[in-house]
Amino acid sequence: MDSYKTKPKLIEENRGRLFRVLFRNDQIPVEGFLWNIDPVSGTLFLLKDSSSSSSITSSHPEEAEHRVYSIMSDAVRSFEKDDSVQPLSSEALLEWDQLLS
Amino acid sequence: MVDVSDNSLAFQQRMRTLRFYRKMSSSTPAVVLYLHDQKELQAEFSGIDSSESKVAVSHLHTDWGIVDKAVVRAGDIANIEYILQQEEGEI
Repeated sequence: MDSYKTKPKLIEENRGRLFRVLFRNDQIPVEGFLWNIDPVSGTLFLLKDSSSSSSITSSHPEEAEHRVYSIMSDAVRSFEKDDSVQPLSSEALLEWDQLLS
Repeated sequence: MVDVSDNSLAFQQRMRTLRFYRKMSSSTPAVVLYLHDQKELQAEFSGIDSSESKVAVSHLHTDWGIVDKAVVRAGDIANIEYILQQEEGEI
């Protein structure tokens, strides 16, 4: 985490790529597409795109559910990129940027 | 020697964080707070301070009922999951 916090360029380059987070307290790992890492706190923001997950089927198909994780840096044991998963397209990332601002 | 472009990227990233919290404060989405002791709390997000030390929530589900308003110490939180609902066609 610290290695990303001090490298803003690295964070920007990796936006939209899938990351997997393991927690210090052994709770269930989380994965999502990198949206941001705060340079002050190191808080990690990951995006969960509902269209890529098959576990939740909405009874209202016209509603799109989007989930975001904000993960406190001191809770993170490890934070690894998974390049085997297709990253978000730049259009999708832009849509998320608009949704979250 | 400080790299100027690193600074401007860091600034962008900080602004991203702040805009995110501002947006969440106005849309007050349902959240799940994952605590360090493995507990999960359901609530609605109200706000957070700029140093991310305290999180204000409403409709906090507890074992003894739903608490109207509460402040949770961010130090107790490992992860916050924001559940954003958006209808198609809505910006």
